[in-house]
Amino acid sequence: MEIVARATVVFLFLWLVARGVGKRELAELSAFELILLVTMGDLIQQGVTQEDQSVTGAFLAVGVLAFWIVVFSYLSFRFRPLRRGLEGTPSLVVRDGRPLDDVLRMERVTLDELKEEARNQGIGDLDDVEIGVLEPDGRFSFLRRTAGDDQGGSTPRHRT
Amino acid sequence: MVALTVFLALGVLNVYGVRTREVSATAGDDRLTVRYASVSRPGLASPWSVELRRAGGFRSDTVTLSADAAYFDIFDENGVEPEPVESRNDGDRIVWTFLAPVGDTLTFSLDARIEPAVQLKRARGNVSVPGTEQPLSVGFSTFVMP
Repeated sequence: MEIVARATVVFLFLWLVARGVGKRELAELSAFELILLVTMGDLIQQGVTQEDQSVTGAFLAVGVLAFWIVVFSYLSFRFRPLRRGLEGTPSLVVRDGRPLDDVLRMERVTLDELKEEARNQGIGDLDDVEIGVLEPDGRFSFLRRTAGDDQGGSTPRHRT
Repeated sequence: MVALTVFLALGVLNVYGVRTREVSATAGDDRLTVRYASVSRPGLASPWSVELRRAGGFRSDTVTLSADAAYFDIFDENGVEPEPVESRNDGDRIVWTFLAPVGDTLTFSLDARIEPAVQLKRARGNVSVPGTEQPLSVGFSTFVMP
């Protein structure tokens, strides 16, 4: 009983941490992630299993985490209003070639990082981007402008 | 998912331990009760205590209890309460001798956890009160989950 309760509490805490650290940290293979992932397993192990050294206890702890992952996934799938809270929402970071500074600041993304992400996807200039989105999992998606978009002649330019 | 839910539900219901049980037996003026873990897991603190109640109180200076020595192999013992004045092995049994308590009840308990190396084992034992007119013994068993 106790191990199930402990694993549930730890799962909820880890979920809050994962949601709270922000999208970018989730996607980056940064020092932060390295520290978090390596130490997290060690730190929570004793909190969950305490002195339990049985295989049954290990199965229970892992089972509880798997259970809540499936439950959260189902709730997110079944109830639309919950999806925003459980999975997060995408953030529009570029519109019509123009980086949205307020959003970038809120997501703690620098312009250099944004450009780097664009270059990684074969986009040399943000002017070529119709919309850029920071997805809930921390990855960027860019939709290029189509040829017709440029014919209007009033393409906004981003600040550097 | 159904199998996982059932597995976890059984965990919530304490099916995998630690489950505590109590068994008692009475003979003459004596009532012997053992409280023990019927199911436990390696590494977990598990209860084991014995209570001897003698109607009218203990008339002798000491009280003796005897138990299967092999049963206690599953435990990593930290201590006992109260300390017996004498503890000896008598063949395959442990014999504890205590100073007779004030009142009519002697309670002896073990502070122990299941040995981490013990997996998937049923340990059986019994406690008896030697030297009484009518034999008094209580049996119990602990199943250690893998």
